[in-house]
Amino acid sequence: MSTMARTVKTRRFSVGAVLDRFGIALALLLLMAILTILSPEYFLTRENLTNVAARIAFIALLSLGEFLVILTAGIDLSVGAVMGLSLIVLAWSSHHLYEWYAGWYYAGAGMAASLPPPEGPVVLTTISVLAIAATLGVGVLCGLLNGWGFTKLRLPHPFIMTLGMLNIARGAAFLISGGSPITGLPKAIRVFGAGNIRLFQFADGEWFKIPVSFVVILVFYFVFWVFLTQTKTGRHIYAVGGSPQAALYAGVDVDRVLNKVYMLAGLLAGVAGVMYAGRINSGTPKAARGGDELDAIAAVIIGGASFFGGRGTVMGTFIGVLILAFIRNGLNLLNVSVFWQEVAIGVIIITAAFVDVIRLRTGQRE
Amino acid sequence: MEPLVRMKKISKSFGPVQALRQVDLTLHQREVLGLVGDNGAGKSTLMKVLTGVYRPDEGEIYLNGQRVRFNSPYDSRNAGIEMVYQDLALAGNLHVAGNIFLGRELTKKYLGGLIKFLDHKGMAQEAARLLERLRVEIQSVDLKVETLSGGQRQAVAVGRSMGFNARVVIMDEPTAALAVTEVAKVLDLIRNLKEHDVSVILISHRMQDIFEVSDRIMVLRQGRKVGDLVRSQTTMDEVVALITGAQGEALQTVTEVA
Repeated sequence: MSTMARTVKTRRFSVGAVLDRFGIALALLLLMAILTILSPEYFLTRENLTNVAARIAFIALLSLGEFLVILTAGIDLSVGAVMGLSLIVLAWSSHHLYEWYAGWYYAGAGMAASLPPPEGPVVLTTISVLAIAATLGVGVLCGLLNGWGFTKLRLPHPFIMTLGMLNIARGAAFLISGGSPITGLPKAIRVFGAGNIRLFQFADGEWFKIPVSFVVILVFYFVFWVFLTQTKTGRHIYAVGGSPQAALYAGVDVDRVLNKVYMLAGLLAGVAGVMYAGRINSGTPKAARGGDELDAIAAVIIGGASFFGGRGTVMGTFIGVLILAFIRNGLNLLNVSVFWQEVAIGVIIITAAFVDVIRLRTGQRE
Repeated sequence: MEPLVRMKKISKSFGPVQALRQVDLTLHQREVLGLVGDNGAGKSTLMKVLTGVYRPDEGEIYLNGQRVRFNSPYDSRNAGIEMVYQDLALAGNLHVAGNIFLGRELTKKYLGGLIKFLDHKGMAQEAARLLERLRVEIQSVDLKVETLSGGQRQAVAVGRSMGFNARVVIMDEPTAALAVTEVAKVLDLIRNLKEHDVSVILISHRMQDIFEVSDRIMVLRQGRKVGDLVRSQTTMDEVVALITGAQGEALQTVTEVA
């Protein structure tokens, strides 16, 4: 009886392996270096970087949700519209909650009715918490419906269900708002989108500030990194993306995993809505028009996730978001026309996808 | 001694097609049974009946003398019967340990059981131990399965089934897609399974593989059992003649050989 040949080798460190692992990070550094050289006065300044950090909030959250879906070899076209709907639900519900509170106050106040109702922090925070809960609830519901359309109705591809949801969410956003923005939000909501955390004072007396929204993103990215790499469900998401058949044979409830993923994408679209509304201090149905989901998909693909599913990292997606943001920002600083920016981003998406194809071709054995 | 598996007079039809007619199958403790037959002879159907994918129209299954009824592959797996699928059962993007523990990951509790995180280290050690027991050489259990050779993948799939405490492993054409050097390794693997008190049913078109590792060979033709032979008492020519129908039946050597 022959024994198996011993072929113990140490792990090889090749240029290819390094590029595979850190390629996207290197691309980001290269991009930043180029922009620093081309725009030495502006690009690497506090103001500019803080500005970019504050601006990427909602797209970063949409991308995180889109990343989960793409990991399972799916697609969610509805995240932009669901974010828009969330924005409206947030503004609408906080306004209506306030009106309801005011009505209740006047009904009980009797003769003091000429005075405005007291707006203590408790009242406004309660309204904010309830409104945010309603918003996230709507996001989760949209996500669940997306999942069910695929897993229960057995629609041929998530493309169809989420395309339907895009239209439904967009329509609902315009129906609820009547087509015009609902402005003015409680401070407890605005702080997520527009607040800053003062970290320390510079010698010139200026504060080093970090946008609250940026901290929120970091927290979400960290939590989802832990979720994907350290939990059973996270492992199953990768398995379903790599081979649904294998996952099924292994006893993984594939439909359940998919439902969870679409639900989380909906939840994150809801959170993105809260950030967006907070930033512009209003709920505008324009946000539901769409287009942001395409930026999210672009960021995920640039970040190295595979459209075939099962491949990609949370960190990669974050870098993808940054690359997209820096290209827009950098080309703005360089006064390049918006239209050329679109062309540039298009080229980068195609390049990123091509790199993925090459990687798959060289990484697998027959 | 009671055989490990006994299938009695199994019949199964799909509409007008009679896929299995009164087929008996016996599998003993620590035995490798070669199951051969032409395409459509009923090999896969018989195995799907054994693993609970199909329910037989007629016939009974006994495990260690106990009557069993499998309604799904889940039931048969719990009873220790594992099917190793050729290509479908592994996720190429996960590493070896991830595949072996897929669906039953080990976890560690934190915050008094409030959250459970994957026990990466524990799974890697267990997986390495499992493959060592099967004498499989894979550089590292951290390697992605898609970077492995066909034989190594087959070994990982078998390792998976061993982890489920399998008593019977069914292998469907495990060597069909392999390079010549890999075939020997898979055949070694089958012998190793036997050493670990696991019985194997091997379905293969490759007669030399069947003759190299089987203790007994069972032949199906057109849904009927036409041969049940002790390997040492038959020849390839005889088996081939049974498969093609050039020879009628050869069932005389059946029962207790273990």
